[in-house]
Amino acid sequence: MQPTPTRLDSAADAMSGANETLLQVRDVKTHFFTDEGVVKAVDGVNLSLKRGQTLCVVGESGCGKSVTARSILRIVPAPGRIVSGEINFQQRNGAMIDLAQTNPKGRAIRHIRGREISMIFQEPMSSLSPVHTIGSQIMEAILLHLPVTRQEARKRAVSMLELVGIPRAGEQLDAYSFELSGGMRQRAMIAIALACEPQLLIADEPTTALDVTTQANILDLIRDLQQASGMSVLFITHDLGVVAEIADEVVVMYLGRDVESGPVDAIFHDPKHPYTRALLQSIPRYGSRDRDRLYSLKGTVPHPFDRPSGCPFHPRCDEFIQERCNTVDPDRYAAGSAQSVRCLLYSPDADLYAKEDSKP
Amino acid sequence: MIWYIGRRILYLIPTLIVVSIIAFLVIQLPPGDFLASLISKAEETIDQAQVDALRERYGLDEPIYVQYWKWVSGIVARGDFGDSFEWNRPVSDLIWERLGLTMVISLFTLVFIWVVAIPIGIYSAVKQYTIGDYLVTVVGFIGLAIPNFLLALVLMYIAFRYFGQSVGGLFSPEYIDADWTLERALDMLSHIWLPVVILGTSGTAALIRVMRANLLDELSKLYVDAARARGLSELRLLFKYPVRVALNPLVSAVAWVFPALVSGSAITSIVLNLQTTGPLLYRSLQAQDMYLAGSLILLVSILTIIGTLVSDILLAWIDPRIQLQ
Repeated sequence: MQPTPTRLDSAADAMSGANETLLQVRDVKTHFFTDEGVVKAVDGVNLSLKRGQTLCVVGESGCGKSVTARSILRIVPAPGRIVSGEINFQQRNGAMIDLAQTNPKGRAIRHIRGREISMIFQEPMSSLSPVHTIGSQIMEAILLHLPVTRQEARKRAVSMLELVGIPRAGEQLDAYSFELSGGMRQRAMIAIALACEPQLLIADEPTTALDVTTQANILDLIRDLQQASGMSVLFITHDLGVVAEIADEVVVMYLGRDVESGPVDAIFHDPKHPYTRALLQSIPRYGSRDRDRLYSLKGTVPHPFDRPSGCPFHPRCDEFIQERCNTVDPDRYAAGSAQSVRCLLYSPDADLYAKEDSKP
Repeated sequence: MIWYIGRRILYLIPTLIVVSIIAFLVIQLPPGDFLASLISKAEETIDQAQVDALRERYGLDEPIYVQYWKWVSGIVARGDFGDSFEWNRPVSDLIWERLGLTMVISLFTLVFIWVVAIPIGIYSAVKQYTIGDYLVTVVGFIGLAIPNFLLALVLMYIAFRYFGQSVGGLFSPEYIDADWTLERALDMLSHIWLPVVILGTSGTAALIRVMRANLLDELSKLYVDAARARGLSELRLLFKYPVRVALNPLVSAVAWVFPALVSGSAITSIVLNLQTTGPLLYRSLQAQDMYLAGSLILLVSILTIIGTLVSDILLAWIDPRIQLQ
C-alpha cells in the first residue's frame, strides 16, 4: 500500500480565515529576576498579527525583541518569566489559547511548538545539534507532531529539504551541521521549522549572521514559502532595509515596549514617534551629499537597572517636554492613518501642554 | 574507521618499544641492585665468591642493553618475563592472577564512577544553584579531599563493626587459595564493593564536577532552545541533545581515569590487603627485584595505552565531528 501523503492543509486554513487575527500579544511583561535585581527586558509589549501577513519587530540591540519572540513560544531562559499580559493565539481547530497562561513545560504548549508556531534563530551554526544529522532533527519534528511512520517521515524530510532549496537533498539528509555552509544551515533550520506546516513562523534575526547575498536568498525563500503556504511570519530584525522589503505591519520597540506600530507604509512615510523618526533618519541614503553628516541618535540605551522615569525614551528625545515626559508614562495613542504611538505628543491633551509651553 | 583503528594499532608498536625501554631504565636508576639490597638485609655475611656466583647466575654483570635485550626478547619470543629474584619464581606465575584482579577491580570502579557520577552530574547541572546542587557540590569536594587510605580504614571499620564482614582482601579466608568456582566468584563480588567504593570516590567526585560543567555549557546552547521550540518534552530533550553532547569529553576521560586507578590504588590495596598488582610492585621496587618490577610497569603501561586507544576509538565512533583523516 502506498503511504498517503499528509495533506498540505495550512494554505486552505489560511484562505478560509483571511484577515483574521492569528496572534494577539497584549501588554506582556517578561522580567528577569537576577541576583543584582529585576531586569525588565519586556515591559508591556503589544502586537497583533493577521493570518498570512508579515509583522516585523524592529529596534536596537537589547530592546527586548528576542525576549518577546521567546515569550510567545514560552522558551524564555531562566531566571526570566512572564509576569503579566496575554498572548492569545488561534489554534488550527479554531480554539483560542492564552499562551501566557500555559505551563512552559506542559503538554499544551508543546503541542503548539513546532506544529502551530515554529521558530528559527539568529545563528544557524549553533541552532543545530553538532552531533545529530540534519535529517534526524527534521524527522524528529515530523514524528513528534504528525501521525506518520519513519519511512514517511524520512520522505517528507527529503521533500522539505528540496523545498528550501538544498541540493542533493537525499544525501544531505544524513549530513551533519558542520558539513554545511551558513546559508545551507539556515535553510535546513527553515526546513525543520516548516516541516509540520505551522500557522506562524517566528524568525529571530534569521539573516543577521549571514553574508549579504545569502541574506537576500533566505529572505526570498521565506517570502516564497509564505506565499505558498499562507502562514504568518513574525520577523525580528534591526535592519530597516529588510523591514521595507518584507513587512506588512511594523512594531518598533524601545526598552521592552512597542513605541510605535502600524502598517509598513505609514511607518516609513509618516513616522510619528520621535524614536522611529530618528531610526529612519539614521539610514544612509544613496546619493546624499558628502558633507551631509548621517544623523545619529544621541545618547545610548540606558542600563536595564536604570530605567528612566516617565517615558523611557525621554533622555534621548529631541522633543522632550520638561516636567512632562520625565514624569508621565505615555499610553498608546492613535495617530496618523493607522498607527498607535506611545508618545505624549499624541495624547488627547497634548495641545493643552503645547500651549502652556508656548506661554511667555 | 577500520583504517583509523589499524593505523592507531600500528602506532602502538613504537610506543611500546619506548615504554619498555623507559620501564627498564627506571628500575635500573636507583644505585645498587637486587644482590646489594639482599646482602644489606642478610643476617650473616655472605662471602664474595658466593656473591659473584649469584651475580653471574642472574646476569647482573652484563651491560644494561644486554640485560634489556634478554628480557625483551624473552617476552616477545616466549612470553617469558624473566624470574623474580625475591620469589624465586617466574614473573608470569606471580602476576597473572594479580593483574586479572586489578583489571576486575579497575573495571568495576570505572563502571561505579560512571553510574554514580553521570546521573548526579546531570542533576547538579539541571538544578544549578538549588539546595540539591549545593549538597552535591559539598559532598563531592569532601569526596575529593579525603585520602583513599583514610576512607579505606573508616569503611573497613564500619563493614567489620556493623556488618560483621571479614574485611581485608577480596576473599573470605576459606576461599583465598581455592580454585575458581562460582562460589569463589560470588564471594569476591561480596567483597569487591569496598575497594570499588574507596577507589571510586575521588574519581566520582571529579567526574561529577566535569559532567556538571560540561552539561551547563551545553544547556545554554541555542540548539537546545531550537529543539525545545520543536515541541520536545523536557526529559527527552535533555537526554537526546545536551547530555549526549556533554558525554563526549567523559569518554576521553576513561583514558586518564583508568591508569590513575591502576597505579593510584597501591596504598589502598596495601591497607585493604588486596591481591592486586599495586602491593607487589611496591615490594618489588623496594627489593630492586628487577624483572618483576619492570614487567609490572610494562604491563600497566600497556594497559594504559590500550585504554587510551579504546577511548579514542569510542570517541571517534560517537562524535561525528572527529575527522578520521
